[in-house]
Amino acid sequence: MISLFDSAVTALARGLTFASQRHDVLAQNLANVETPGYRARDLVRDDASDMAAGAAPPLPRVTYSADDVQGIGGNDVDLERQMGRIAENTLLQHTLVQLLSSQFASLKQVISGRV
Amino acid sequence: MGDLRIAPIAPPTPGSGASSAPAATGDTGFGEALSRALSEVNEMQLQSRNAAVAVASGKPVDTAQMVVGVEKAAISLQFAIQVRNKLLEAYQELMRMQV
Amino acid sequence: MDIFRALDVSASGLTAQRARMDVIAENIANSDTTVTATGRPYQRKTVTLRASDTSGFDAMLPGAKAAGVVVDGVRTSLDPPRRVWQPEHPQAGADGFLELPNVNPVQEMTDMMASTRAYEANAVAFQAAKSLGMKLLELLR
Repeated sequence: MISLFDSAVTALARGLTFASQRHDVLAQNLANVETPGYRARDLVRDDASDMAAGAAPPLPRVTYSADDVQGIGGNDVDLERQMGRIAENTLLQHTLVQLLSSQFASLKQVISGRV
Repeated sequence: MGDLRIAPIAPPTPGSGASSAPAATGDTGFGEALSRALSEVNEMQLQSRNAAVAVASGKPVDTAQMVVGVEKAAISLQFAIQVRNKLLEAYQELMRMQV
Repeated sequence: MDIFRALDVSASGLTAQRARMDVIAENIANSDTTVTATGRPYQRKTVTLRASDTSGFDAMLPGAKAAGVVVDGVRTSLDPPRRVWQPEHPQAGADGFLELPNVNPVQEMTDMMASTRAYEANAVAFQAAKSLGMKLLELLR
């Protein structure tokens, strides 16, 4: 069976999953911006571009993202920086959705033979 | 001399014939490929249906993967339908040919 | 769905900051209340917050319970009330000192501003998660 979907679709979908999980972590930081003793977190993933084809990429990991901000009781959430990360992550998500959408649209065009 | 017996030759059953001589007809190779492709499309449809049920029953679902899976299933089905249509057209065209 | 989890997290932040603002407003409104039901002056209240994640990293597994922040309760300050020399006041003590609430309006206003900022930030995160969910569904038309 000819594969209709090349690895680009898989990579886009994985990117979307990662970005959506990262949003959860960043939103958690924002919810706890005033919680004493809370340490800011972030989600990172290792670069998978040099892995063997077909191998499962490494799972994303949660790390502490030290923002060097002194808050109540050792809280180190820097509100502005978190907002910046959320904005950049949201932009990434929208981009990925657009790319996926155009991939699917092209496929459908090819299949239906109509332009 | 009376021991000679000729055992009757059993007629080949259709199933065993096809599996023991796949290269006998070109159609069988294509048929296998087609049925494999259809079962893949069916598999994708099932997965997309299961994802829909999981969402409806409130189970935790990876939205991105689910959406992409559902869309892939829809496109694969569309592709399979178009292939079937083209095959049907070709067959009808063949039937219409004056002999 | 994981979209709902993101919304839950931001919603918990909104709730927590709302609780804080309510308590701050109560502090400000009662900054001169010399007698409460207990007979003592009003004591400053604060909201205690606690991160409700399941020990940090487990929250990232799909299907984990909604994380976020939880309001642990409202604590009454144990600091002594302010004492002001006002012997002519009907509620002044025998020593001529009037006990007033230990509420510092400047502190309360600062807290209110921080709480407002945090509330708005959580609202933005909430909107972002919601709009992304809608965009994803648009893929399916």
